[in-house]
Amino acid sequence: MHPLLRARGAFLLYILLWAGLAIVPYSLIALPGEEGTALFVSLGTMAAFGLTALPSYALCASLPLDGGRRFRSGLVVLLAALSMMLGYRWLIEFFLALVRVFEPEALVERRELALYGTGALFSLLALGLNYLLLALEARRRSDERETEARLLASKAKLDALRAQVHPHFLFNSLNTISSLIGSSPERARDACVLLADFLRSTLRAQDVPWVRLSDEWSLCENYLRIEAHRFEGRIETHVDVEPVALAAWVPSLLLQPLVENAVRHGLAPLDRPSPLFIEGRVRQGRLMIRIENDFDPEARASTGGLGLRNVRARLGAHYGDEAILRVCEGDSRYSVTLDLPMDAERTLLGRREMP
Amino acid sequence: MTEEMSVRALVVDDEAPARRLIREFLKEYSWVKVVGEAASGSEAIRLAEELEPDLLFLDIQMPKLTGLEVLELLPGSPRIVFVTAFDEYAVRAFEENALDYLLKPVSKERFARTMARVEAEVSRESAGGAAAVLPRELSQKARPPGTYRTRLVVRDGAEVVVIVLSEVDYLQAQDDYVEIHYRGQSQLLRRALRDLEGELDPSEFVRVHRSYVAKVSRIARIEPWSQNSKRLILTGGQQIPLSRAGEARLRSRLT
Repeated sequence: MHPLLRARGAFLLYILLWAGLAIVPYSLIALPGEEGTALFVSLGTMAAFGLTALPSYALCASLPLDGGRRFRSGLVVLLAALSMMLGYRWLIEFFLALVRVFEPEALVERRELALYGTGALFSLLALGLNYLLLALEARRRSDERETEARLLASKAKLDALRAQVHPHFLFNSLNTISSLIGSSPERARDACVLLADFLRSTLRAQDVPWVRLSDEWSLCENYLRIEAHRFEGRIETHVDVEPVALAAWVPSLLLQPLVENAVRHGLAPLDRPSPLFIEGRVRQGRLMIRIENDFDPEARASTGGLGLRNVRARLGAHYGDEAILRVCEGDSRYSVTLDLPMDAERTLLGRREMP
Repeated sequence: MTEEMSVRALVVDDEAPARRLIREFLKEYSWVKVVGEAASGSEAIRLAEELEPDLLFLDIQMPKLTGLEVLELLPGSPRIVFVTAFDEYAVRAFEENALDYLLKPVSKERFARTMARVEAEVSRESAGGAAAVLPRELSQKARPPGTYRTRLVVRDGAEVVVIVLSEVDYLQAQDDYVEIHYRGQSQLLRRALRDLEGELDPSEFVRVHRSYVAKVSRIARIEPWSQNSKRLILTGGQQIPLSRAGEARLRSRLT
């Protein structure tokens, strides 16, 4: 929709602008004793011209002058200006004919060159106004998007915290520790420290938008070691992450929800030891992280996609369209692949705070 | 409690440390004998059949079969103590129905209080008091109110079959059983259809006939059958009878 049609005040102002410019054709066509005719014709022409110029907004919107096909767009816009100029000239004749219905003797002066000249100027003015409006609109949209991304990120952070210190995980871990105190105090102490470390690094990660993959991975490792106490040997972790990948920057708490998903929805429902594969590679300037695990198709009905949705939303907020998250679900294998730009210069958020 | 009295307990939890903890706490109660441990719902059902326990410590959140689903298939009527880490809704249902439950991490005091209740109940029962509630009824009580089922569990020989309700086409009453038709096959569940109907999402399942409940999204069309009766054709081609009252219910659900 045309931005001017959205606000009544703006539209009124727009019509007044053209009505005010009627002074230009008036001074060109007015003949002594024929001022009334000239006033009617010029006012009518300008109002009609202003109204008919409105649809050209859509045309300008589809022909960005800063895009790749600049020359072609410019040419089309010039053609549009030319036809608008002819339309302007024709409108003068139309309104004169209208006057002549009532006053057959009505006359105006026709200085063709000046009329076409001003018509051309008005057309360019109308089209220029369109591009101005488009620029303002684009600015407003990008502001909106930025605000939205910020909101999303803060919400995602909260969700991430909730996901990490999922109450179920926390209470079960405490129960595990309580049990270990009786059977093997050494392991209980170990589990206690792991849980404390995990909570600490999760809390810290809330304030740091970007971390090295190595840091994010150690948080995940910490999480997995706690789960290993709970599930006693049912998780077989296979990790293969290239050193160059470990040095890459990633949004904090991006990987952990995916690892947790793999454990909670993939491995926990299986009552046998099963592998969890985690791979990190750098290929052609992109960071690829793959998490793969077995799952029980029968237990699928109880799984929730909240974690994944959350990660997707955060990727969008941080990388725009440049990050890819692929989910691959086989008969009993499930894998999530993150494909991220290594150099996330264009991220919307948090880059400034990066150390 | 008399000296010779002994309560046979089964501990069900998918996490080994959690089972160990219950076992450790139970050491102080000489009148309880732990006869077995199960790491999954289906194992719990199998062991309950074999060992006939009087008391079950049952974790709610377990892989594959939840604690509540285990109850639906559990033989006998052992006394149930629910164990849960975090589930506000379940806890509310437990409170409302005065069921025994323990929260993880399990405290020794809470455990002692629960065991005192169990002991009182068991001795009352052995003195000829009212028998314990059937597990299936217990599972209905423990279900959070206002929620509908997403799955059904049935026994097929020694196997436990989980049927996801989104894959079900229709349900058919067969004497004391409900025949569940899904994915081109069927399973029998020992329930009254009228009873089960109340646990299904009414926006998805409609009773279209005295002995049929159909899934709305599976209905392809209505066809006349004989002079004054109609039938439903499902998307999979199955035909089921449609009674006049059933048609009225179906139409009111669709508008």
